[in-house]
Amino acid sequence: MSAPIKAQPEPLANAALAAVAAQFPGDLKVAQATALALQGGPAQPSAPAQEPWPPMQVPR
Amino acid sequence: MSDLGWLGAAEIAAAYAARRLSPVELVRELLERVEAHDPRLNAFIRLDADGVLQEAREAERELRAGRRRGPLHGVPVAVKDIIDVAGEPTTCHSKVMEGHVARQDAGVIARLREAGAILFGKTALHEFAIGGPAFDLPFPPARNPWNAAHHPGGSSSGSGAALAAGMVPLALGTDTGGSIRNPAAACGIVGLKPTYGRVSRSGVFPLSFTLDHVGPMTRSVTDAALSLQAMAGHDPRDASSARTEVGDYRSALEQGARGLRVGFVRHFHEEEQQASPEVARALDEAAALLRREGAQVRDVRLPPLAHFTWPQRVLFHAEAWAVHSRWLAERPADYAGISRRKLLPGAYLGAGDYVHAQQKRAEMIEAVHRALTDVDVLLTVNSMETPCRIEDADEAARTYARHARSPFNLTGHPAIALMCGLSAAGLPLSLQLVGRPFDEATLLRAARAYERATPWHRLRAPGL
Repeated sequence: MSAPIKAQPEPLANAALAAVAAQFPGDLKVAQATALALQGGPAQPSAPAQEPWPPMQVPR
Repeated sequence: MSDLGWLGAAEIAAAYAARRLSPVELVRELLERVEAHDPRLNAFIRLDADGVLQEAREAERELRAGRRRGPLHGVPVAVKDIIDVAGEPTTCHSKVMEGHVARQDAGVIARLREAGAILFGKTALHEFAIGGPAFDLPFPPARNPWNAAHHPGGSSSGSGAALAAGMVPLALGTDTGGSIRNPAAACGIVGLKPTYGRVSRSGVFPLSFTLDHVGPMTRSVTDAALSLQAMAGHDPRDASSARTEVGDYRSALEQGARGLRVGFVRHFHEEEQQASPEVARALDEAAALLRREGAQVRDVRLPPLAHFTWPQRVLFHAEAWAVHSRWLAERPADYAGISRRKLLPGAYLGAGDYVHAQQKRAEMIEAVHRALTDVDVLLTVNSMETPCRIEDADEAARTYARHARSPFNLTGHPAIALMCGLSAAGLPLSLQLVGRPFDEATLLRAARAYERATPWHRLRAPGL
């Protein structure tokens, strides 16, 4: 799970990021740094994606 | 002003039953307290005094006629302004929501009305429950009654401040990463995040579908039990609402600590993050007190804190982004800067990040389930330190993530915050107890056992 930041965000993301970049470029830098810190975070799943799909295990 | 503002919900109900107090008398006193203190504390965004008095008169008529609607009949409850009340604006403390008026009551509001509660205004929050203390919004941020220069915690800031200032006996909060338990810690009150699915989220503006919870904020554990009893239950309007039977949250409340097994999770605040010496000492004293009261207390290890906070943050950012992306594209200037900075990271997270976070969540749920097979409740740190000064943005950013609340948003286990001391600077200290899913009765029993053996819940903020 060390994928780089998405090069081509979805169109809505592009629009939002462009709007924020135009008016609040500092906010965008903070958000990018936050996302980068989360990618490749310290607590990855202990196994790769499994089959069958792991249950959500929402306590009910 | 009299001391009526400090009565709890259970005391108010008893006083009504004994005809020692009337709803109108109580509401008039609370309105006076709001008028006196809220210009300094900003707990309320909206409070319709005439409407509240009208509800109080109606409650008074019904009670006099011997018609008791429910356990909260005539008891005022303040509502975090992210929760819909029919016919009233839901601002979410944001310019973005200007002009929005709720068409129907949120599920939790409908239940409180059934129980007879008087809706006593809408309280301030962090914008959309995600931002932080901000000064670039249509409403000022709430301030801490213990020291108005300090943050009252968030995001349910106004609910915490209103309780700690004796303006209201009950309030509603929401909790996605600790937003009930943080203001409970900062304001020295009780905050209960119930099990995921226990209290309806219908009509509550979403932040994160996986992590959002609704719960009561009170000044006593007894009132937390009383209000949860009224709020809990299945709601077909909320897809995440549980069908599990609602427990009896009050019958075991006074059974004490004898026989309870308490797992003390020290490593969160001793190894992965360092709590302030005052907080660490208060937690040790709490563990010792529970032992003296008859509980079996032993150390328990959970996975490291980061194994909870990483997936919690990924889910939080990704899901909040899904909620807010269109508005961010169309009107970014209508958000506070701190909100934009917390919402935008979701644009950069990929589907793989999200899926891995959900997988990790399943692991962490299992880990907490396992820990709770040998003990009845867990005792953990709440905030690592006392609340920062509200106007110090750097300090707010540094301290805001220093806590152990979000693990139990990720896993859905019920968790309660309660006061466990007072710092040398005169600010509250708080602990957290965590229970098994849907076993709020045992969690509340443990919390009450601690509360009744300590003086903290009887303290009042200075000058109030």
